[in-house]
Amino acid sequence: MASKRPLTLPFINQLDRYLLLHKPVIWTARAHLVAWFSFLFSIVLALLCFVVPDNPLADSNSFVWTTLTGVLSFLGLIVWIIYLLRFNVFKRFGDNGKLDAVKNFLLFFAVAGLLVAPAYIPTAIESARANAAFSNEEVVNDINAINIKINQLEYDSLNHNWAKESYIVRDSVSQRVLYRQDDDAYIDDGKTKYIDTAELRNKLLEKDSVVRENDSLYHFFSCPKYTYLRDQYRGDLYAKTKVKSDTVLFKELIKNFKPVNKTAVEKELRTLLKKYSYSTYSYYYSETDIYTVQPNETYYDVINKRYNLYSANNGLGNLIEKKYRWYTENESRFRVWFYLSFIFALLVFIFRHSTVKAFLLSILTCIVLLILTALLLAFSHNSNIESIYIFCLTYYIIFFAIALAGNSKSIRSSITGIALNIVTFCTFLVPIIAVQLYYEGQDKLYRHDLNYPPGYLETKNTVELITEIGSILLFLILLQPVFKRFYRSWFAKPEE
Amino acid sequence: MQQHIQLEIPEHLRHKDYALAVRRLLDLSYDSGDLSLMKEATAFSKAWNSNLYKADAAEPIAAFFSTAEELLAKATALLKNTTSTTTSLLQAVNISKQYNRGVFKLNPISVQIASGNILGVVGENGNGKTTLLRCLSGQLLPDSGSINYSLLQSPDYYAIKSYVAFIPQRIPRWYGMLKDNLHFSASIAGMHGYTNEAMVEFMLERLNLSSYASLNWNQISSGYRTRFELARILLQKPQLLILDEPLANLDIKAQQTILTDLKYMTAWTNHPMGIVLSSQQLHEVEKVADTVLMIKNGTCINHHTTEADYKPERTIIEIETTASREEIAAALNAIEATIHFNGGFYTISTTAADAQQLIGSLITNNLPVTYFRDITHSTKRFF
Repeated sequence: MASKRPLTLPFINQLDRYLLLHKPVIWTARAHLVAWFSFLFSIVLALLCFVVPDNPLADSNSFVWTTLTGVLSFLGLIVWIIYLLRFNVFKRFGDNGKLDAVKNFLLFFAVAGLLVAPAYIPTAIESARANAAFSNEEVVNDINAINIKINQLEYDSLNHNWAKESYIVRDSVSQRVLYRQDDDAYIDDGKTKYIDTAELRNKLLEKDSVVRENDSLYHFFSCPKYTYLRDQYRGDLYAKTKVKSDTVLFKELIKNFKPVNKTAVEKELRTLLKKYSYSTYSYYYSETDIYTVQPNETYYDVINKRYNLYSANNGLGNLIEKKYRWYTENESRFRVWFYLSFIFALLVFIFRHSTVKAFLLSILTCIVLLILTALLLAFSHNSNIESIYIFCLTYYIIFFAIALAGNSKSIRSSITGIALNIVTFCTFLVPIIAVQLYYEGQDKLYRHDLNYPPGYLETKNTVELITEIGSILLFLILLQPVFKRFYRSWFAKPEE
Repeated sequence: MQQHIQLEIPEHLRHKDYALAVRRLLDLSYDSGDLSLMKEATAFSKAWNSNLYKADAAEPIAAFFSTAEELLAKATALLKNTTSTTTSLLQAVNISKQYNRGVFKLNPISVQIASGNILGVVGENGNGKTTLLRCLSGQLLPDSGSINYSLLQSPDYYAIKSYVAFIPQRIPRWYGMLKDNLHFSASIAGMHGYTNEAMVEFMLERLNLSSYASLNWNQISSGYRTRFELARILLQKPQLLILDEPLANLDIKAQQTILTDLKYMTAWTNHPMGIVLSSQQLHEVEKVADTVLMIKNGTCINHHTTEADYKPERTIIEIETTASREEIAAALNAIEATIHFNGGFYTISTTAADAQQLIGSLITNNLPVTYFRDITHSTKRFF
């Protein structure tokens, strides 16, 4: 049987044939074809991202690519749903295995995951290109070289005075005036600054130097700024070499300063800065802001303008963002991928088990409820999140009751179908909403002064995570014995 | 029944009805339940349809006869101890249905269907045939009465819809290659791999669809769509097959072929089933149906088996002739009869003579009769 399906390889056709003859449930889900075309799309997208000219120092345009890919993925989902209308084991009253609903759902989820995943390709390619263009060590070495060369050139205009702060340490400090600046906490009675022993520990770690005058009086010293690039410390997070701090530069360079050949050093500095410079038009800064030195500006601002560090900072910031974005926030990325795939899979599952009419009416019902709820909240001047959670839970209970009542009727009604669809879609959200509702109440007790009980936030995070996992498992457990059974019973009934 | 087929096939061969002999050999192989024999019979049928047994001569070559005899012998050996039994499939008692909108009402009707039987439902358009069929198939819920699906224990509607296959007049379109749809149907009915391929090939060949298997829905006529749908349903092996107007849009030859096939299929001992079909083609349905049910204005006005339980009071015939009504009346002078002219036919009704005497009088008086049919037992008499 020669397939006329375009862009497929012989092995796909062989697989299609095998599934048709042996695994109709999988064949009919068209999962293998969606997976194949997602793979092809990913390859084309990846090639395109590699081919399109890209400057690692430029602002990331991955948002545009991600949006485009997201739209295409959504279109892919629609096409898949249309394809699923063609063959349906469930609606043809064929053999149903004991775990068919779960297997089908997991298959839908895996394929939906493949549809969603390409949205991450443009950013991954961008990062790969940035890493290929600039190694981690190279960036750190260049940052250090730039800082050193600027200090060598500008030694005479630098501020060499260390800032001094004096505190009296007590076992505890009473609450009079509490300052919170950069995590510093101290009491100021107008004459003397007091800190407690906990704050002393913080300052001992943070400050560049300290002199203990007696048991309670401490003088802390902060080194002047000898580093000039804004995102430099993010640049050495994943490099063996570290960016030299102000103190290190002071010890290695400033303390025993040796004059250099300024012309040669400046030439090298300009070359380095050019390597990282990337200027973009920004309405935040005028030409005067960036380049023109104004009277009474600090040496630091003067240096920034003299060497056009704005452009270097801009390029370096973009580069570091691209290089290291995959080292952080992966949990959020996973959540976005997981929930999008899960919701896609849910939509496909519901579409496949419902009628087209009931499916579309369910979407319409949700939209109408959304508008009604918004109006109710607006008219009652009540927009707190708890009310929204309570509305959601109330709707769920109502639809659950309708679905349950409809199950005992002898005819297939659209209202029961709508209720069944909404209950199926929302079941995994119910435990999450219930937990959020509980913690919303708890948070209110502590939020005003951020005075959470010890371990409260950790417990909350753990409970939320367990709830997320548990709600997905609960849905999977209910899928076959409850949802599939209800759908099967509902769909087979005589029409209204 | 197998004994009957085994005797029938040599007769078909002797009378040179080779195409029918090949089809009956396919039926016999199916009854045997032996997959390899079905494959052989399918290959034999394919070779026949590809003219491989004909060479240049009008008569098939010797290999055709030897293969047919070989298949017959194998099937006979396999079917030695097989017996066919008639099982009740459905009893509907006083089912009625009225739609929420509209004035139509299906008045209480009782029917029963057994395996191996065909129930024909006839009547004019809009009289309730489809409503009755949809009630029987579980598509509609009757307002009153009960339906018992005899082989199902406390069934839900999913079980009922697996038990009863309903082919509507307007068949929903198929997507993709026709053959793939058949493989899919066989696959979800539990036939996998080799069995699936063998069964689909067999069904395609049995319904003479092999040459259309690689086409899609838009490339075949409505008659073939009905046949493909029938093949799909048969692969799922329902106990009861309900067809709504399967003869609509078919030419007369296709009508006869499909009705003959249905008649043969109900007799498959490997998978005996009952068939309910509705139609307006009275003659054709009466030829194959064991029981005919006529519905007029939602009420069953005739329900009997065509031969056994109807004792007619009048003899009714219809004839086609160029003679005038007066000439016919003159020819039947000795017989008191009423003569009606309806759409090119004369319908002659009498209590004084049987059909043989009526046609005898007409021929004796040299009337040019070009068509004659005794409709004493036919539902045609109600029209």
